[in-house]
Amino acid sequence: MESMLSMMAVVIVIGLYLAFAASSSVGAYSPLDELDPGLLMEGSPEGPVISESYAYMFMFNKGLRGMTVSISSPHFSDTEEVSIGEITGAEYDRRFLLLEGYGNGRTLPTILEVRAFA
Amino acid sequence: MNEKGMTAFADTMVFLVVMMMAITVTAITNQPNQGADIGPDDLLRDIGSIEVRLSDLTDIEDDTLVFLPDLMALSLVRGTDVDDYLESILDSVFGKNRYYLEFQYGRMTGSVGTEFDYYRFQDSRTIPVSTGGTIDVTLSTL
Repeated sequence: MESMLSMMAVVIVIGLYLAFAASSSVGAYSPLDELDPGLLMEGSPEGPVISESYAYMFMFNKGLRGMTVSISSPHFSDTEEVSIGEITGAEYDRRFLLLEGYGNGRTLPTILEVRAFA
Repeated sequence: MNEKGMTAFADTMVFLVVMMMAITVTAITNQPNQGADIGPDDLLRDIGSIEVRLSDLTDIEDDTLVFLPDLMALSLVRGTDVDDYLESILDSVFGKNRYYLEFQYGRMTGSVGTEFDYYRFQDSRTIPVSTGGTIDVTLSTL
């Protein structure tokens, strides 16, 4: 009787562990891992702007429903945000810190924030 | 409970403890990088290449391009807006009260942020200053 109970406990715990491990590995995947942040921005005389063409290409290539992209350079420029497609579904987000050229020769840290919806 | 049952029970307890440890290890190693996708090393790697106009962060009416570490060194001897600028970058990247930046030029030391004992990430760099010498910068984040 005790052996039976012990075996059941072991089976239940192993089952729970496998389910947990599987969900953890699925959650670790992000379509944004393959995003090239440099291509998501285009240079302009005033500073970088969001490349909507690359965002669209990336979205269709990865089968995403939609994306939200924002860029800002603290102290020097306000946040510019672009949303394309549907902003619903499973959400993945990632931020990048890049150095970009701005007006009058300045080179400033720029925060690129991308949210993807699958 | 007979001796066999007792042994099975003890085995199960040992197994459960081992499984608990395995779950803990799996949970820790698979933690998503919440807010940690940009680390102190990312910012310090680039800080030496940030270039602004001298007039952007000082009251000197001179539009010469200068590197940020030069202005950080200058901020230790005269009033500038460098601390405010560093704070706005660090607030945006790491969040308010989640970082501590310390910079040392010669014997003078400046800092931005809140000093705690429990920061999780830290990186340090020695960056050359155009007017001579180097500035040591250490950034700690939660």
